[in-house]
Amino acid sequence: MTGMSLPARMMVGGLFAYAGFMKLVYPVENFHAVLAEYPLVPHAAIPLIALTLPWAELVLGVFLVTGYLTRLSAAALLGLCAAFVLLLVTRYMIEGTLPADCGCFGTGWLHFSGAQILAMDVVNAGLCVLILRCRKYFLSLDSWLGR
Amino acid sequence: MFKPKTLITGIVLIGLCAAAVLVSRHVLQRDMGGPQTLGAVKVRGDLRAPVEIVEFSDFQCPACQLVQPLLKSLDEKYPGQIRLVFKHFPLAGHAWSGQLHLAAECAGEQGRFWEYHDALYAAQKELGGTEDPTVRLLGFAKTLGLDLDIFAVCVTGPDAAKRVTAERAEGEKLLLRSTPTFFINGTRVVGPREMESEADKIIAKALEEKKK
Repeated sequence: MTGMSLPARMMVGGLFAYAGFMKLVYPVENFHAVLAEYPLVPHAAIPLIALTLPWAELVLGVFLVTGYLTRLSAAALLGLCAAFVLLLVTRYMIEGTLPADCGCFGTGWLHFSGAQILAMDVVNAGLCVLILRCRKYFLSLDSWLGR
Repeated sequence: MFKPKTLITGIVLIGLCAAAVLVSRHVLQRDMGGPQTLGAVKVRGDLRAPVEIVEFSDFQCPACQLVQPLLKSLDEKYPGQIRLVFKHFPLAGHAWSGQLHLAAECAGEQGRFWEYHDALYAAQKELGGTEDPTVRLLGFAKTLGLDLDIFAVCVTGPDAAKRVTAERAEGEKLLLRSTPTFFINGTRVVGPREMESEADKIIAKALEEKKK
């Protein structure tokens, strides 16, 4: 289990860090439009979510990759994965379709359809659970800091 | 509580993230500016109107079609106050977008861009399902009374294609991610839902500021 936590951390943390970074370096209005596609997101909350969510994704992703506050980061990212699954499922239930492009990675080269990203969120949630179940984290700042 | 070493490590990590974002954002957005509308020809409305809406659009994008009634209703709500500038942004994922934008640009050469634009959006679903839109595009040109010889020379020549490519490149420079993307007096609004909720507010504010 401990041996598997490193690739799991790299994958989940790397994806979230990349997703957050790409949203942060491009104009925020691009992300407003993505959020507007999800009926569960209150319209008034879009500017605040667009401003804070990418930072959370980037910082938590980097924390997980470097193994800093690993359990806390994995738990927070598990929460984000669950929230994204909820957004996608409610969108499907209300509008009958998933977004053609999830918009999760800003303007970057990674593009996933709603169905693909739903599957990826479920996999990422599973990997977060795997990380949470580990007692020690190989090649992590937590080990270096004696946590 | 966190030990000082743990706390400092966290602060360093967050600082590195922030630095990477700020530097990359600066590099990417340094020369972005706004859309170029000086000398634009695909313009609808009063040239001296106080509100300018620049629309980057794709004729095969359903969201772009969806937003057309809203643009017309804004025109009706604010008569003489809005100038709409159209910019081509054909998306790579749409099979016929390049051809449709080229045809519309060529209709524009004969002064019928907006009529051709409306015809393309009206027939969007049908054009998306066709194996080759050429016959339909010529049909629209004929219906609008365009000179078909001039139209044929235009769509096969390099000039109109260059103009379409240049507008697409301008959109990329402005870091457009999707269509439709609007700039209302320079304020970016992306997508039909955001346009529906924000356009009216931005226009009203611009007109209010003009009165002061």
